[in-house]
Amino acid sequence: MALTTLQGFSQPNSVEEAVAILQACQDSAMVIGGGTFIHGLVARGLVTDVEQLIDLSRLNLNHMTFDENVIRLGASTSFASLEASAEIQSISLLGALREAIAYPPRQVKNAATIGGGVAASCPYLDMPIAFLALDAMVCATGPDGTREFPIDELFVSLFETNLVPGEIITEIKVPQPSEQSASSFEKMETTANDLSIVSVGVRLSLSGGSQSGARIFVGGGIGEVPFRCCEAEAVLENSELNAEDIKRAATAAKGEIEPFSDHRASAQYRKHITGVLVRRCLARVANQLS
Amino acid sequence: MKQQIEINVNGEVQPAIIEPFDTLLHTLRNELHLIGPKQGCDTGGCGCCTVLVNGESRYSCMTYTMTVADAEITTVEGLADGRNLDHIQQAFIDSGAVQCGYCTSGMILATKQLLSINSKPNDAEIRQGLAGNLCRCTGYHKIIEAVKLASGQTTGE
Ligand code: FES
Ligand code: FES
Repeated sequence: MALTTLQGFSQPNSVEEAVAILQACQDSAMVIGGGTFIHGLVARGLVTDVEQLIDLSRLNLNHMTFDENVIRLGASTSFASLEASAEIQSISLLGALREAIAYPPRQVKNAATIGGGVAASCPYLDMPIAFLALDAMVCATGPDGTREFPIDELFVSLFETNLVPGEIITEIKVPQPSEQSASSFEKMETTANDLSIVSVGVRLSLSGGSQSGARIFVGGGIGEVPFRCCEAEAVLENSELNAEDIKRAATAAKGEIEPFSDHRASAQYRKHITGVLVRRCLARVANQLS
Repeated sequence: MKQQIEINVNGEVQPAIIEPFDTLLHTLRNELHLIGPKQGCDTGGCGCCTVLVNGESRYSCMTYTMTVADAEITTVEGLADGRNLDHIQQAFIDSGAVQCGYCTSGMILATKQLLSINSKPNDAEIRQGLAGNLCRCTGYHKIIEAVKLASGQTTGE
């Protein structure tokens, strides 16, 4: 199905130009990064009134820099270029990102961008969960300049972000904690091409044999935005990450989420699988940190 | 609003008249009459529309033509040199990896991408590399054999 309402297609060469076009078009424009998400929306009749597409692929936002304290990833960085990066492959903190980008087929990896993956504000996508677990910051530029905010503020509801009209995401920053940290991601889906039933991203940090500042996020059919499992995180505060604590955290996580039932899975099944995936991810990360 | 663009397909720069909402799959099949890329799901789920864009595999059904107007596009029609088939095409024939053929052009181009980054993939890597391409006939076994043959890991005996 084609998006026949479309009148024009812009390919700005700078962030300023993109912001100006977006501001001029107001509600009739939609931004695409790699363009892998919009076709599914169009096919489901969820995009019907877009008159202008703005392709951000020429903004040169595909940088990756690795400083001691922060990793900066340009919003247009494709999954394939992340996968090909020796740094991304070797930094233990980034396990969740590596595991999240391993799921899509090569054709999607070549096109899909990290900026698009979060800007869609879709809890079924993997990028939000991975970057939430990593405490990422979002850099955005709009008519009023540039700002930076924690990624959890981005997700307001399904398909709705905190970006103001005319604003685009330019970069995602991942802070590198001073403690030894590692992260992991896993999801359950009915088929390789379907949306996730549930997905889980976790990060743990160890110093002096004790864990602090755990992050446990759940995506998929669990609500309008990804869910943060605060109770499960609390279980792991000051934990030595033994099997008993990991089990308790997984039980807490499945207890605190409020998933829904649909044709993919029942709420009860989603709770069960969340417990399993949280346990697996935590065990994997604890193993890496030990 | 229709507009004329130039598009580089299989080494030949050609004019094409497109709408801003046209996908590369639509342009290839309906404008340039290259029917190697097939339309299956049309939403990025089956892989039979796979083409190469600057050497990288892409679903042409989820690629707007406008975004690749300055790229080099390769379809299955661009692989053979006259009557001499590309070695991947020949390996698919020799392995009997084609039944109805609907998935084949996509499989061959996905294989081309896979072998460009991993010249001797093992079974698991082949399955992973072709995970974005469905085949409803072969059961995949012969396709994996074809990739092994094309990568010189078997002799086809
Ligand atoms: S037709 Fe493009 S992936 Fe199915
Ligand atoms: S040969 Fe028929 S779909 Fe693959």
